[in-house]
Amino acid sequence: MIKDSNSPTADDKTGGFHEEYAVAGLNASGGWVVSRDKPGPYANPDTADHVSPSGKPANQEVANSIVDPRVAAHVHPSGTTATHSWVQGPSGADRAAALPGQINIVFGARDHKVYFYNSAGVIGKPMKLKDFLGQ
Amino acid sequence: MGMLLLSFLQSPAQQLPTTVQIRVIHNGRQCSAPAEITASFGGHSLRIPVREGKFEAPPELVAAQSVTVETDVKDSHIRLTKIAGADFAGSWTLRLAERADDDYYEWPGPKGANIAASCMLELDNGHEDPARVRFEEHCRSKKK
Repeated sequence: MIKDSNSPTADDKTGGFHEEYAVAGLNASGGWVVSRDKPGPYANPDTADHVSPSGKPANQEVANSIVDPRVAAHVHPSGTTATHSWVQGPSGADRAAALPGQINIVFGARDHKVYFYNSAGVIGKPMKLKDFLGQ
Repeated sequence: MGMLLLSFLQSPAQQLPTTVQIRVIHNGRQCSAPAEITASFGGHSLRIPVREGKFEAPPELVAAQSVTVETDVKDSHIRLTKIAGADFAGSWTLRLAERADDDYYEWPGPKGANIAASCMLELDNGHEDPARVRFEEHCRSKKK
């Protein structure tokens, strides 16, 4: 997801200025499924006040197969301008939208940290991405 | 009738003050919030007290297009320019550092920036995601 957020899309010509979003959960057979969304729209922190996920699953069938969502994750983009960037950790809006009983994750594309959070804030210290990936 | 019309024309944002929580982090460590800020906009200035790390932004300030905020933090005078009135909401984190460091700043700012004379202001209005970081050079000077 971080690699994808840092990669160019149709409207994010350089990469680093759009969000990626995914949900992971169980299907009807109890198997794990990961559903990725299409890349979100380009957002320049000089002029935009937020970055949105697309809200459109890359594969609707895969998305529909999840009957028990367990994990929601999105990327905070790495892109910077001369004067602005995006905060890498969860925002107040993230905390407000965190669902109890679900694992909520923000990936910082610039600081390479993984933030687990709930409605009260970040849980513990952010994890290094390489540790999260077991590298 | 005129009053009724006026009340319809005013948006809720224009009618209500907002509360802003302000945190100051210097070299990665949280320090005391300033005792007050001075907000200048539209040709006039307001001195606003900060109590328990929070201050109230009056409706006319929230409606302003561009605001200059001045305050004193430790031995520094801070002058932040061109802040949109709409950004006076939620929580602000003002980061100061003597040098660029991943743990001090979200990012080191523009190449060649004088970090010791710069400020980083994280603006989290509570309803937009992610929060934004604003980097401003030459915003920090020795307190007089």
